[in-house]
Amino acid sequence: MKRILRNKQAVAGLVIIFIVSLTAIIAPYIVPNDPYTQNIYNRYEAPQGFGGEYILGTDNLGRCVLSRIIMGTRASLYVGVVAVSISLVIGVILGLLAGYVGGKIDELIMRFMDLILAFPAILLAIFIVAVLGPSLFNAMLAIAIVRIPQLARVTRSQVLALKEEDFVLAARSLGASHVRILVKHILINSFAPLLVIISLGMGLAIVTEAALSFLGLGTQPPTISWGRMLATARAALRTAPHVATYAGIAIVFTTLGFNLLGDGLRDVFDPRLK
Amino acid sequence: MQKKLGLVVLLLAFIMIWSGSMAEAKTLVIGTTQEAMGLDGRVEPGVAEAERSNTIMEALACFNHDMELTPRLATNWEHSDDGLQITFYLREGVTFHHGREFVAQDVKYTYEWLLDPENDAPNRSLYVDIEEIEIVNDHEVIFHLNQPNGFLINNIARMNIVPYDKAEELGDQFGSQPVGTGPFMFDSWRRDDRLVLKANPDYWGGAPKVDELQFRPIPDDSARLMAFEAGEIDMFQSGIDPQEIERLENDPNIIVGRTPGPGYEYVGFNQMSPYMNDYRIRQAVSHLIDRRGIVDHVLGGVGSPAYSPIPPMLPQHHDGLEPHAYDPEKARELLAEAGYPDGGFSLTLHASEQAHRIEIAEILAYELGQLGVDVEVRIEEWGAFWDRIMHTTDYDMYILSWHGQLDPDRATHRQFHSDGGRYPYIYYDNARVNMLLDEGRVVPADSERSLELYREVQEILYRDVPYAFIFYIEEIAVSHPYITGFEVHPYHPASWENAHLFDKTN
Amino acid sequence: MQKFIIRRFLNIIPTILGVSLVVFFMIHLAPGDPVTLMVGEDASLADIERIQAQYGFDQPLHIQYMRWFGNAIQGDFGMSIRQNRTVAGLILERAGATIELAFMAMFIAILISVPLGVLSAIRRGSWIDLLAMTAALISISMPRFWVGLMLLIYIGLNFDFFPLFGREASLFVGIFSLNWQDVVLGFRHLILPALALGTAATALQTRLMRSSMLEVLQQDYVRTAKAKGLSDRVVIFKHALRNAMLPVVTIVGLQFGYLLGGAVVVETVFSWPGMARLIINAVSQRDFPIVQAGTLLVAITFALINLLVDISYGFLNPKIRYD
Repeated sequence: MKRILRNKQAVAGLVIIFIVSLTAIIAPYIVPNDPYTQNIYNRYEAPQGFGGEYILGTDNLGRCVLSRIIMGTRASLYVGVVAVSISLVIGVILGLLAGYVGGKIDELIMRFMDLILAFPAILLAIFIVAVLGPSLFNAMLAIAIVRIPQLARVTRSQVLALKEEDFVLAARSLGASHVRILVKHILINSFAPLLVIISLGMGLAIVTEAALSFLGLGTQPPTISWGRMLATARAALRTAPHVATYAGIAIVFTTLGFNLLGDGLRDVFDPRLK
Repeated sequence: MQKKLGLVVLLLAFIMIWSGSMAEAKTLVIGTTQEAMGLDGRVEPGVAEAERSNTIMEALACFNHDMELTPRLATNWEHSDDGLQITFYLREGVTFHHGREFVAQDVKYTYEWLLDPENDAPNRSLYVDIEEIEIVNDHEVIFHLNQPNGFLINNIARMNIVPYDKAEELGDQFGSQPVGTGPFMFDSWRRDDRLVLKANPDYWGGAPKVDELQFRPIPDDSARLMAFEAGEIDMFQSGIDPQEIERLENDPNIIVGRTPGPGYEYVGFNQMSPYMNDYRIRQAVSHLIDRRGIVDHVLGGVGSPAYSPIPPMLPQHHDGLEPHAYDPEKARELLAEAGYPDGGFSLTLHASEQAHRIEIAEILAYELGQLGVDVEVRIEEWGAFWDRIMHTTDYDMYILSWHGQLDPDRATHRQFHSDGGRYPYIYYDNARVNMLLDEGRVVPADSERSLELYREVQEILYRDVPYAFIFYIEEIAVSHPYITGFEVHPYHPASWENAHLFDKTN
Repeated sequence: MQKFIIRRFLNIIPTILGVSLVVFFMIHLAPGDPVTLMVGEDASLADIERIQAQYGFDQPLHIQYMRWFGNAIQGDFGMSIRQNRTVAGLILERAGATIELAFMAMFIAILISVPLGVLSAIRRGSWIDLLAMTAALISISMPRFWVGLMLLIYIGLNFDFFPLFGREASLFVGIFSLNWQDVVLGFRHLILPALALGTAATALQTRLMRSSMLEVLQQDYVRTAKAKGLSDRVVIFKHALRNAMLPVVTIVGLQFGYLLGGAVVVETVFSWPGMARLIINAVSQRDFPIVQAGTLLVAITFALINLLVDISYGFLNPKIRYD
């Protein structure tokens, strides 16, 4: 932990993530206006700056951009957290199985991972959303599935590396159950590389949601997501660039936070780079 | 040394191409929103297909800019007194692009092909009133009808004549290399890239003023507008971000053409839904639509508030009504009358991905939400959306449009007749409306009775609100000042059919 | 080595089979069918059903799949439903544009990332390092369509040299046939979409190059070389660079997969007449044969590239054994 706090990148990332998370939690209490209130007569109002009613202007239906960006932290974090959790759980279980059991199971799982990898991510997402219908959750599912192979691979290689270590062999000879060994000895020790992937994956999930929204496959109104804000506002990119700009900045800022943390963690956990 | 030489050659090449691009044959480049699937109007009825193929092929008649029928391959036609015959006098001295003269046999072939169920022509149902086609001589044909149909001629004006010999020879490949009588001849086609047409110097209406016509599909609205402003395309119609319209209209270097089109957008109410089968709830929804506000702000002023299915340019349009007023209080009362004073129920609202439809859906959901009605908006990809309203009853409301409402029958029969409309998207069933529509089909289109019938239909629909009409569409096109002879056409498929009159004068 | 290649090659087969199966069932299970989309608003339900039967869409899915698979094995991917042309022909017509786009994007990425990464590593902590790493992080955090639209607005609109859409000539064909006019024309159209497509890859590879270079510079043999008094330049280019390239080469293979996916967005924004757009349009038309064949081709390409990467990995680093 101390090592992490000594890494400037990781700290910067943590600060950003903290700001964004805090915003998400207290969002309803700090929005200057109701983010859902429409007024089409006030469409694409330019930013009025501090002191104005709409500090960052209004969007395509006259809603307060700042309020929507603040509320949007929720959906974006939600997408990231849920998508990453789904891929983490499935990826880790598959990776543990493949690495620990080995043999036919290993072969089968890894072939299956190859299969997912062989799909261009966006195409796979398009198929998933086409079959299940567009919604925030299905978008997350699509994002999650694409990420599974990487997690499975990393976990598997960790298992393979740790399986023959002395402490694992010792635990086994003491009669520890397989589950206990997997969780207590192997998983705990795989924590570091997984954390790096999770943190980078969060950033990727937020950007992918934006891409899905661009293709019309992302979240559904009235859910506020930065991706949809960006995709909608691109129609006014030249006449009222503020909405797209601020939504874009929000996406880049948050993604940057997770990427900084991920990078920092990698430096910390990978002492060869010290 | 060699490296340097290569660099010099490269530089020279750059310069040559820069200067070379200045002097080239006159090519008119039209940008489009969508690529066509095929160029055979008999099997591909869409707008993207028709706007292209109408420059290559022609129908017996066509619509002018005032939406009046005008002669094209026929110079004249007459209906018999009993309404059971239409005689067409065909234009003489017209040749197809492969050199053969256009004759009555081509007309007979085209329509017989269309009517043969084996050929799976999707628009066959529009022509089933044609019983037989009689060739009087090479330049005169008589269409014998099963029953009078005063509006058939409008559909005939939509169907291009194919040369019987080439159509037979090419079979289902005809749509990839069509042959017609039109001002431009098919040259080459790389899908999603460009369709290249060459001027037909022997065109009966006069040789085109440009040497080549290209259709270039550019799917992204912003990218298309930028390509236009940079002069890479000369003109395009529809698909302009509403936000840009004011800027474009104020730009002296851009010509914005606008004209009301024969169509409208609407919210459809599925009568199978337990809520939407109550006319008071439907009326309430209609009173929640701020039509003026939507047109002025969401659509950038393009379009006009709507209240009936028959567009204002048709004589049968009812001009004694006005759009349901935006009145949330009245909507609340209507909901109370229906037994929902505080809302308290939920509805689904479906739309496809067009930006303005998403916006209208969000507006409607918000307005209904203010009255305690929970609306779940579902934006679906077109294929899924279409499948839903075509093949299921799983929706309460949806947003969609009708285009090409060339006559009152097309504007009402498919939509509101309980069994005349084959796809009952809304399952509307009103005995009186059915009766009026049946009669409307057989009385002469220009008779007083026709006006009366459709007037009453529009009044019933106004009260009954099977659709909440949102706005009448307006066609909009942009072109550069150096393009002459172009005027935006209200019927999009006909936009470029007179492209032989366009010129590029720079 | 030979054994390894053969085994890896055989491993591709079940992957490809799986992809074809998954795509087939997904696209057929998605709501919407090509016939309803094709006939428009004036056809009757009876007509629709009859046409569906003609295409065999009324048969059970597994039978449809077997039939498609049987034909595909013989190299017959069938006819497009909407375009009345063979799927093989349609794809061949488009593949060139997408491959060119992906290669150019990768070329740009390598061209920028290798020197920049090396520079950042050598001058670790300098302003150039900081700038490069910040730029890289921000680039990864930007959605591709956004980058594309920005390039159009700020570069395309302002510089006549860069056209805003489409493709006029093939750069690669131009190079091979020494047709300079085509080379220039192809280059002008290719550069912006390739930049948009390659931004993320560039950023990723720059970071990777930097960290891998840093690692190599710590190694004993580099230190020894330095100690022997060899100049920095010789050390870096003769010893370090080759080894530092290893991880970058691996990632290039993976990146190609992402590039092919990203092409979907880039080809739409830049109206690039490539395969990704063909597949996307086919998905929205439910033109099943194109979707199936197109996705399969992408999967095969991806698998083969990764195989090549694995093999080249062996050549670059003889220490790695294949077992």
